[in-house]
Amino acid sequence: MQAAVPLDTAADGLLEDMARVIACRDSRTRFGFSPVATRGHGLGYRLSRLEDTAQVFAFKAAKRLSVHIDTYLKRIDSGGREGLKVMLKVEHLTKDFDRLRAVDDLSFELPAGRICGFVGPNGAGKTTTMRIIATLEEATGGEVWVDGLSVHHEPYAIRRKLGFMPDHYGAYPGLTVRDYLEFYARAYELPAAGRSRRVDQIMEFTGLDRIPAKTVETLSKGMRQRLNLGRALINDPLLLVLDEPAAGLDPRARVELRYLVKELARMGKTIFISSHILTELSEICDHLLIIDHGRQVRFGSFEEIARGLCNAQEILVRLLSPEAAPVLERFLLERVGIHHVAPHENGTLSSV
Amino acid sequence: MRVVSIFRDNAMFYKDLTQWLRNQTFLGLFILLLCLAWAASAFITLLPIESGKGGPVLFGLLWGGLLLFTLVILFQGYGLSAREFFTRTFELYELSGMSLERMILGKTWSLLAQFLFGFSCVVPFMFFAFLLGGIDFYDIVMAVLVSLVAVVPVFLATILAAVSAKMRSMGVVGRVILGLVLLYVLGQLFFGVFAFFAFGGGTLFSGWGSFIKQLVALEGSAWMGLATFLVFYAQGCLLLFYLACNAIAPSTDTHEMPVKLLVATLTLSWTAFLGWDFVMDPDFDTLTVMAFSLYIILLLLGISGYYHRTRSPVMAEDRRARARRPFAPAAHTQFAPNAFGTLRTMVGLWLVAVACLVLLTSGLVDIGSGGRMEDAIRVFSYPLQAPYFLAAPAALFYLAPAFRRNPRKLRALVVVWWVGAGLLATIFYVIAAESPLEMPGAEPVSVVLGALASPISAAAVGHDAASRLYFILPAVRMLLGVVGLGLCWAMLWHRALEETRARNHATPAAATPAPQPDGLSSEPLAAVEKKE
Repeated sequence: MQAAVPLDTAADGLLEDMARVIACRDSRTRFGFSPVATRGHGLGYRLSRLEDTAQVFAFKAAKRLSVHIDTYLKRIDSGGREGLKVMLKVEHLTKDFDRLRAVDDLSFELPAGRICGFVGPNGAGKTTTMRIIATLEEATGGEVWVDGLSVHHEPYAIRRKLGFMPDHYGAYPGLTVRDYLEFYARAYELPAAGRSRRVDQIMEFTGLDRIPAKTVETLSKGMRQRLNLGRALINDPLLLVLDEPAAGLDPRARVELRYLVKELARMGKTIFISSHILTELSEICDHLLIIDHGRQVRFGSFEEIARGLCNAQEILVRLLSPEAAPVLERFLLERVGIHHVAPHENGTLSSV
Repeated sequence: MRVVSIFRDNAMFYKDLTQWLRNQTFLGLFILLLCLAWAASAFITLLPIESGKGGPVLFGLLWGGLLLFTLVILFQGYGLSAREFFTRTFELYELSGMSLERMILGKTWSLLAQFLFGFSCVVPFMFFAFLLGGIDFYDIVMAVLVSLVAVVPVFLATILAAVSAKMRSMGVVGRVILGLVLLYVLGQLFFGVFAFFAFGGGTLFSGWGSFIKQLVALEGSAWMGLATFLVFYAQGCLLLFYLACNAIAPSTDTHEMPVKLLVATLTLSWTAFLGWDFVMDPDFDTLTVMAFSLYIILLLLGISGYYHRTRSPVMAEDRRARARRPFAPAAHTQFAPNAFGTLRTMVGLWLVAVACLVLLTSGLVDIGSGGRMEDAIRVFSYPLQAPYFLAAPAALFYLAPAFRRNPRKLRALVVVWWVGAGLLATIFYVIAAESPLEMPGAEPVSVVLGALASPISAAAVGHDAASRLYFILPAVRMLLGVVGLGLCWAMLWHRALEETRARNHATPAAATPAPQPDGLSSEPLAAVEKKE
């Protein structure tokens, strides 16, 4: 039996080791007796006590305790230590199409509950990366894990945990909005009892409950994107992969979509969203991944990247009276540190 | 109840049927067919034609109407599936976790359900035709059964054609073909009815009912025939089904394993069927068909699956890992959806050809006169040489990295070689054989060249039994086949090694760690937090 180490001296190691213990338990190692579990950190202290308990109450009691620790771990996790759970992990991802290298050594980690913007010009490899994460393409090299599951080893399980909204839409002649969602609810094999309720929830969330009987083919682009998002949500996924959801939308629909994405993040979903316009994502993302020609340019929190990329900041000024734009432009350009002012048609000025 | 829930829970069946029911043409078609059936029955009943003619006329009209209805369903089904394929809608279905089998099954059921709408509307009138006389009851029963049995492979073939049409132009071609069939049916119907009124006659199914009578009388030959038909029918339908599944599979998935398995079982059944006929009936020479079937299947299988990826796609690997049925792991290995699986299947079929040759020439099976023995040796040496034709042209170019690293290029090269070299060698053989005096000694050279150059020239050269070389050719072919198999294995192993090397090169030195359970980062928590 290991010597007891006080909990407070090994707080960091505790969580890591507890997680390992649960991993061991999952791999059918008897909890409390695994070599990892008695390494001698704070957890060692706990486990040696637990081991004693297990000797008294036998294996069933130990198993019950493991459940308690699991719950404890989750509680800590939701209590601000979000870094513990990595929802999406990409390591040295590479994809070749004949002679073209579409994705080149991409590596990043996305913690659970975060929104990560994926930015790059057209043809940078965003869609390919997203398709690999969604198990629709096979990587040439590297590895991707979604909630700890490898795309190479457990693609079926990943599909259950993932909602993918591709840049294409599909064809559904004759189907109404409700039929469409019902169909996908069946496709995801949701139990018949809760299927209808889930469809109602999705329609309410996406604002489609006003037009349940409208045929899919007659929907506007914005409504179609909502429906597409609803489809991606029908299985209540942990990770949402959205490929250019705002492409082709008018400003109002973009604002509405941003609101929906924020709501989803508030609900605890991890969101990986792509766009070729950086400013489009600035309001909603807390992480940013920038790629170009398949190669990773930057990855980090939005602030880090903003600090690291340049000293300049773009400021958007909305004017109450658009006639004042020329005056304000002249005024701003006279200020020290302002390099460029650009008036926009929607009555705003952006200055750098 | 379980059957009902299978249909109810199949999302694709639900979707396709909903789409069809919401389609405005559905109601119109149904009412039109019903009106046609009523009108035709009333018209024929009231028409003052001689007794015994009304039944066949009404039956012909109803059957024609049903055929037209089926063609309309086919048009719609083809259009919907092709559109879903072009717009990559199948990818979204795939993402939902719906298996490819469920997709194709749902589509087939939906087409079948649509057909049954029309079928149920017409069939009662077909039996009314019996009351008008001139048509046998069993003929009607047979027509009903044949219609039901025939539509399944037709629907499967339609779905396969729709999802195989990789280009929009192919979709148009498919519609044109269906349109021509429609015109043909309309023409046949019109002229058939006209000819009947003008000259009299029976129905398309006249006399078919006798088969049912034989079955009822428990005649062995009829039951044997039915069993044989069912074996081939089931395998054929399954092959079409899995080919359709395979056609819609994304790059991470494939259904090549069942396709290869079914090709193998169909080939075995076919060989056994023809072999049985050959042995039992001395007048019936099925040997050439049997051997050439094996030859063509080996070549097609090789060219379609050998110059292919060396690793199975991830979804197929996952399915293999989850396979729990007895013999499933062995089947997944033997017919693996990669080049190795193709080669293993080819080796299996090649051994079947060897076994056939041994059986037919060893005296274990009585095949009759000496001439038949020579035929067996000559004809069965063709399939044995197939691996050589697959490997030899590619082996010449394999050393060039541009070809080696791109199996598709190698495949194209082999096809061009087969056609080009085959035609040249055949022309040379024909010229040498036609003018032996002008080119003395050229014939043996042309025969050897033809036998070695390409499968096309080998077939042309070897089928002519006049040459003296045919006595040694089977042994040479066997030898070449073994060399070909060896070359195939060697090239494949080398390709697999190169691909693994390339993959390792693509993944930089910080080699990918083993998968982490429970969504944990490979980094310690402290490091993760520091990052945060």
